[in-house]
Amino acid sequence: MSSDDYTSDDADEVDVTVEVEDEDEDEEAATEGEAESKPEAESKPEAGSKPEPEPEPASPPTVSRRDRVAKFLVALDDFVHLIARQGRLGRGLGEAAARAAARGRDMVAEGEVAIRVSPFGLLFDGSSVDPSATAPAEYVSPLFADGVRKITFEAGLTAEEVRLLAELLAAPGATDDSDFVTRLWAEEPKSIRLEAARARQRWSTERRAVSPAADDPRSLRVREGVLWLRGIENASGPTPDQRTRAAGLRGSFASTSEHARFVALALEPGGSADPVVEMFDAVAARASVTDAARLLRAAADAAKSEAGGTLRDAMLETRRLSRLARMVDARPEALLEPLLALCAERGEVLVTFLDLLRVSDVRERLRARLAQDGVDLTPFYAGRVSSSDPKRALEAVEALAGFGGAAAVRAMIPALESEDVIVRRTALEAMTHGYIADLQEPVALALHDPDRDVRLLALRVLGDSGDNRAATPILEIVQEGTFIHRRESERRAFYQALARFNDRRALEFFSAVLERKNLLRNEAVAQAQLTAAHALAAMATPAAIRTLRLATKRWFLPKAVREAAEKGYADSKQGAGT
Amino acid sequence: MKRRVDRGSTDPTLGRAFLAAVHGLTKPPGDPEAAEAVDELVARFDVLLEQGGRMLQLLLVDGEARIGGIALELDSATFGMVADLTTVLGAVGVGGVTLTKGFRRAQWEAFAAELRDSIAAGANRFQKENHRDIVVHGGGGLRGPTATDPELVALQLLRALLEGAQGILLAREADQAPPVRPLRRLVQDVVDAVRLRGGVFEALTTVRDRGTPLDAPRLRAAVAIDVIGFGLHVGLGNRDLSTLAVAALLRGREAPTAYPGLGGEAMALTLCVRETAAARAGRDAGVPARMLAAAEVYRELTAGSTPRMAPFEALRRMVAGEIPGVAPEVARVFQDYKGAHPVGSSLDLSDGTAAVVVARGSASAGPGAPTVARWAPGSPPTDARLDLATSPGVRLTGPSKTLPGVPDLITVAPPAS
Repeated sequence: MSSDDYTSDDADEVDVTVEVEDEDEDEEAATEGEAESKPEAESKPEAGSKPEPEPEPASPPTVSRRDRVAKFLVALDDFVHLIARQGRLGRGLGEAAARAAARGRDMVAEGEVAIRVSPFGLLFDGSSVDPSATAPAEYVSPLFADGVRKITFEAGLTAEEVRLLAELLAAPGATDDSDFVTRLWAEEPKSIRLEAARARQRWSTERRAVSPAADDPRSLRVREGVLWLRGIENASGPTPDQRTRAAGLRGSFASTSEHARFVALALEPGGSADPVVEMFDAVAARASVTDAARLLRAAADAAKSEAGGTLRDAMLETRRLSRLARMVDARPEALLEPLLALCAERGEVLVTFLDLLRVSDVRERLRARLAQDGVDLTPFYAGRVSSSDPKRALEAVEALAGFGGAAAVRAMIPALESEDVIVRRTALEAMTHGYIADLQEPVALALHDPDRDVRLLALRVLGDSGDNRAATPILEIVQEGTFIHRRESERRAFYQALARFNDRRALEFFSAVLERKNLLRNEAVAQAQLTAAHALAAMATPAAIRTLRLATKRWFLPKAVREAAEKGYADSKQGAGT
Repeated sequence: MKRRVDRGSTDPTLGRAFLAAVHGLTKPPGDPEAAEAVDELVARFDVLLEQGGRMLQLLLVDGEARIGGIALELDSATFGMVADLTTVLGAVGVGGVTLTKGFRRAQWEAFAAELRDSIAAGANRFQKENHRDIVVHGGGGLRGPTATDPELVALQLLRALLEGAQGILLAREADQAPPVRPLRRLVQDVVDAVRLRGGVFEALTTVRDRGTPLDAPRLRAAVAIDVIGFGLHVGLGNRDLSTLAVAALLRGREAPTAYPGLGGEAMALTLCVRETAAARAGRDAGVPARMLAAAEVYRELTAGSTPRMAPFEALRRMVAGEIPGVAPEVARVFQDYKGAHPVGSSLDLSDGTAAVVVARGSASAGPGAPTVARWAPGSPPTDARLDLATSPGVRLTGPSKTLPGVPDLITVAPPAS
């Protein structure tokens, strides 16, 4: 249970400063010299323990024993901090748990060890054994406030008990319903015993209304009563039949339907989802997979109603999903189905949830399931396209490419800025199948990409787009002075792409190329003119045909160019005639 | 108007000397440091008297030492002494010591001897007349492993439970949701005590004035005790026992939908509180609620404001399914726990006397043969026992008709109207 889940209002609830006697009683005793002692100590064995002597060792502890205590506390402290930082499903917990358990066994090897909890820290044999030399561990103060004064470890201390202690110390503060003392007691560890100050309940601000009557149980009548009570039988042992019947009742004590009934009760008219949400938080903090699964199922069943929808939405808030993701990473088989049921009408939440999962197998499993159910995973992958991890980004682009559709294509745009050329290429390949207007500008930028394949793919996207705006960036490139230095195949591709736009500027550009007098027969210029002739032929507009016809009459053009112009002109004329 | 309380000197130096001297009593006789501590205390106390002071009071409260009502500033040495004394003195029911004007060294020696005697015996052995100016205060706030007087502990706890039940009723009347954590701490103590002395609690909640129905707090506390015992009989763990008992105390006419802020315990407690009403109405409910319903019905039948039945008659009818709101299979286990003649129930015997059941009787002797204590009307019960299984001349004839007016051992103020 994390401290931010609950608010504690200790001062109003528990008067931990126990008044041993009423003020009036004190005065009477003090001023009248009443020397009669009034035994009212409330001291009794903890559950399952036997009466025993004061657990301090008979002989002064040796240095090595103190060392063992200190080492245990250091290992326990590490374990506690690990749980506090990472939760109960964090990494490295197993090692820390094993180390603390081993140190714990060493510590109690010679018999039980009692560690005092003081306001200054942990004491063993009267002096500090705090894990840190500079300050007491942060859980010491809450422990003291909860009334814990001594923790006794008995021989037989188990790893499970050490783990339990560490988990409780990781969140030791009191909440509305429990504190360290009640939590440890509820778990019934056999080898860890607490000595705790009694916390007296201030039942009401009206003390007079709840004070005991003047007829005190320590009166003579009670003394006689006590004499009689001493012969009273305690619980008699059950017979085998009784034991069987009792076991049947106990066996059905925790039923799976309780969660559903609890949710139904909370959502009754006038009720509130808060208790369920609070319980869910507590269950998540404890990483109790079974309870979490049952609550998810119960909430899913109730989600159809309006109040149930409120509960569902509260349970699916991002901060809760983060905790749930840790549990799903660890136990997907128990939690995935209930979670899917709860999210039946909130598929977008699962897309967010996918991103919170850390274990790739689990993530893939959920992703596949969502894809199978037709949930749009575009938002999930959109967030990963910009990942600095090329593998992750490529996975996202490939997935989006598989989805198709405008949203998926739009989600891929950031991939064009990826440092990884494969990511850029893959994204552009996908874009060739689904151009959208948003692509024009970013794809135009890709025409300047250092990678030739990327440039050609971008050209293909724009060329196939039919978007006349795309002619401008292509034209700008082919007019650059350096364009002539590009490979012939690329130049040809750019011209061909340009020819696909019925654009006046493109026509003027090709015309200008063919007007150039290449008297020295520069091969690159000749090649450009040949490509321009082919491009005009491909354009096949009346203006293009006129330009071709003019080209056939230009004596300074290389023969191959003229022939290409003539052929293009003839084909275009024929095409126009048909 | 509250009187001002004189708690004597608050001088911390004198207080430390007092604490050291009392702590010295836990060491073996003849310990030189302990003797020095007493010398210093006596010398400083004389100075106090010369300066007009008249008393010095040390109280051990919740891990603190209070001198004249003011907490001593704790360092690790002081804390160690306080912790030692709290444990050692608490085990013999001592929560503080006051020196008054006539205090002398000789009284200290007598006091020391009695304290050592008390510690050795695990019981209070102080004699007022041996040290008239050393006042021993009751108390001791720690729950330690060494029990002092379990019957007295039971009385104290039951009184606390009655106060708790009464406080809850008051809070509910004021439309407040009582906090649960303090209840859990109290219930934790009670569960541990019932585990060891269940019969005592049963008797304390059953022996009563048969002419007067139990008031609401007493009824709630009695149901809580029953449901704890029932849960122990079934073999429930501490967590479930606590939930059942807290639910028994929280149950009321208008249970809130759910208790906010309960976290992981919310479900069990809410279900138990709310579903008991459903169980009482014969509707579907969980096992804890049905257990609580059985305990409630039993108490209402035997001690409530309706015409009251003898315990064995109430149990018989519950098991037979004649009482609405009690599942017979649950009632059967409840009967197993209570026995045919529950501890504390009153009976008439064939010799014309009345008696109270103090032991259910062995299973082999049959359910009709409990051990009883004879109880003359108007007198407190005695410790004389009669085992009906081995006393063929005497048999029980039925629920007592001649035992009115048995005084309750614990009283609390009635709830404010």
